[in-house]
Amino acid sequence: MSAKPATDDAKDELLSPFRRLYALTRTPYPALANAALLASTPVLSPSFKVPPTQSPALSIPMSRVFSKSSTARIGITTKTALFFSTMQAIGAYMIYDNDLENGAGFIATWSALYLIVGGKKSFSALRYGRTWPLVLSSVSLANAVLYGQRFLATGFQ
Amino acid sequence: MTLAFNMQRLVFRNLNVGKRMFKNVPLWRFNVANKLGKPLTRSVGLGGAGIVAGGFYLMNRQPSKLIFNDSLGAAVKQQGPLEPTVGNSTAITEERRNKISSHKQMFLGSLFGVVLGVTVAKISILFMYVGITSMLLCEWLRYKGWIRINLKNIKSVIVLKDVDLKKLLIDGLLGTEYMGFKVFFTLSFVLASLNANK
Repeated sequence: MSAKPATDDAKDELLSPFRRLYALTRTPYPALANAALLASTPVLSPSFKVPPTQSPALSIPMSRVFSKSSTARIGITTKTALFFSTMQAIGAYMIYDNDLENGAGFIATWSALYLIVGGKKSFSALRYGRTWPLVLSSVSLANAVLYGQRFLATGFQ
Repeated sequence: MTLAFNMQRLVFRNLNVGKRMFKNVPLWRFNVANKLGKPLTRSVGLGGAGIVAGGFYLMNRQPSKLIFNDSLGAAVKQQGPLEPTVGNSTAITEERRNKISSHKQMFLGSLFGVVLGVTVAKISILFMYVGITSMLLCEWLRYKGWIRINLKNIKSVIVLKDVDLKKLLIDGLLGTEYMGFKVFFTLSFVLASLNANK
């Protein structure tokens, strides 16, 4: 039986880089890396406010009633980054605790939610020369895809 | 009640923005007046909610009847070779079962929160406000002891793999048996609802 893991490792070496990344999702390290990147965001790329360039109109349309305030904030805020970093850490702990199915599903879900929350902001930040939010979104997208694949694989066994 | 307070601040933040939108805004805007009385940002409650979620996770490692006996086989298979079964195997099995159940509550709460939050956000924002407000009001009334919800007569039908979905959704959202599910469902539901509509 000891020859079989070696065979699987040999197969992983021959297959595509996606397969190698997919093999990493058996460990909590991708989620821990994502948590570290998110936790360091307030230091590396803090968010800032941009004053509005146009004066407000006399009549405000109804569609803007529930929109956010006119002062836009560029980048990921500190509390948002720390919150999602905590969630990634919780998911990593689940996998470290040998609960691969629930941990992978947890990380995939919260990575997808991070894309919903900060996905558009990462592209709007490019206008001001900020590329770090795009790095965070790319890592979250990779985590969502790879751990989601892992969850589906374990779920149907 | 800290979590409910944070949720309330999250929910009612946009209402303040709506009120301000209806005011007569002059063509010129004073910088000093602009900074005073600014509504709370969305991320104010997120840090506290995250800490509360972590605290809930550490405190609520209690046994649960959510997972059936069949799911224990998968948990045993996932153990690594560096963890031999030594000592009292019955106690280890019971502890393992409870931990798996807690993890499953947290994952399913997050997953259902995201899915339902995005769905609700696409339908109506007001529907989301009514839903969250009703949920918090129900929690507050139970905390005051003015109402009591007894759902033990409702029979469970829906089963997903080894999880009783109906029992999880009803007892998780309205009861106090699955606090892990409730905490993570609320967090992901609010975040998905507020952000998916942009």
